[in-house]
Amino acid sequence: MNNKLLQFLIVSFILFPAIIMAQDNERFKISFWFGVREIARDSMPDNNNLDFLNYLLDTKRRDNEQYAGIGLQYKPFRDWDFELRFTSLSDLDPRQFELNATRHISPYLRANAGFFTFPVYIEDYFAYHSHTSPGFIGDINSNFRQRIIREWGIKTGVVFALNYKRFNSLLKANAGMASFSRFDESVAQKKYNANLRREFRYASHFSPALFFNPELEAGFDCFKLGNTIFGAQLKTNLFITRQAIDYTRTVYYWTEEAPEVQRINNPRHSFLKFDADLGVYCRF
Amino acid sequence: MAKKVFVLIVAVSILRIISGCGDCPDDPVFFEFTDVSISNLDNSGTWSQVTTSDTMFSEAVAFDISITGYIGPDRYKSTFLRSSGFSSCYAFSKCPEVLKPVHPITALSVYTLYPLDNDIPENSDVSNLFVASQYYGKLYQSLPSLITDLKNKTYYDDFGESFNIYLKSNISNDKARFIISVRLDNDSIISDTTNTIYIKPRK
Repeated sequence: MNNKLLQFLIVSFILFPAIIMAQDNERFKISFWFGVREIARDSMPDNNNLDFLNYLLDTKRRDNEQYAGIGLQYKPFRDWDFELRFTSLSDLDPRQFELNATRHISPYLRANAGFFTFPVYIEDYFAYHSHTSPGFIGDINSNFRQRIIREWGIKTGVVFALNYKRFNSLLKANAGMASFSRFDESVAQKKYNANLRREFRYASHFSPALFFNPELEAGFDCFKLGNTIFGAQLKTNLFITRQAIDYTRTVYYWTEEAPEVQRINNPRHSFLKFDADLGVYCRF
Repeated sequence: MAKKVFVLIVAVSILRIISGCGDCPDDPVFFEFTDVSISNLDNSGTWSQVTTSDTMFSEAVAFDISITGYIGPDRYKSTFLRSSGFSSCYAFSKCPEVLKPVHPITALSVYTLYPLDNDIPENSDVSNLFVASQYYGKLYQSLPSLITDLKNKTYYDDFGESFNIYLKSNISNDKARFIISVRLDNDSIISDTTNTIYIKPRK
């Protein structure tokens, strides 16, 4: 069975050696990919305030994240195309998506705009309280804490296109503004050998940051069946920013009465996400 | 004739089943609070637990308060009437018995029989130095807040009240003892006295 499929692919490849260029009547592109992600961010020493970004899961603390995705591109007009991408991490939940609109200015130059979201993990963040609260049980909830927070952003940029015979490529230079989604967390503590209890409640804020987001997409048209072109593609995506997670911290002592409320602005961390994936596509 | 009587009994029973099905009855059975009893708590760890020891850390003085009650013959009359025949039918679940105190708790006061420190002499009202908890929560609640909860509380199946109280201040004396009084809405007071507590300094 596999040999027959291989023969079919080879014959198809030989029968359609003609130069295949993107046709004006091509309106759809569907692509699938599988890739790996690297997350890097800098760590800062603990100070008087919990810095959640010190507990963002990066590739120093775990292996590269794998992901799989699907992309749907639609070209309703000659000069416009729209693309929707969904990506799932290892939990197979399509938490990441991206919507782009592209204006074709010339054969080589396009303008691009869109919005996106992708998830990151933060975990074990109340370890901070265990080593900064001497005399207290750092976290009376002994469960391991992990949560997913989302990066949301809007972007715009220019796209350089190069098509040569069966080869097609896009180089995108995007920039925009992004912020982690809001979340609430709380940790309760108790003093050893004493009655005193206190609780820290955190409510994060939107903390927008500028980012730079270059992307490279390279595709190779392998064969054509009818009006459908099948190909293989390589994509890379780099996301660089300096971000912080700011929050309001409310501290309760003994009871819920008369809490101390403070707004905390944390220092910005450099944050980098790099994706590289391989996939297949069809255009028709 | 016997057949007609049988059909009539069956028909009435079916009607009683149909009319008996529905929400659980919410008419309460009333009870009286009668006694207070106090147990010592060991609150040195994460969660407090009842202990037989009379020694506590100076910053961890805590007690479990149980207020027990009494139900008069009314309860049995009411229960009999409500459970006779097919007057109640529920799918696979027993309705909880709804209980309300005739005289709800309106105040809780704590007096110390020994000086706590140089500023708080013996026989002082130290109620405002205590906080309470009814459940295993992250924080405590103030005694006025506890009383507000208890005033309108409805009990289900069990008519005893139980909560813990915790002293907020540090005791510099080597002994402590408290009288804990519960005032009901008819101005009657039920109270109990703690054991003499031997205080050890916090490690």
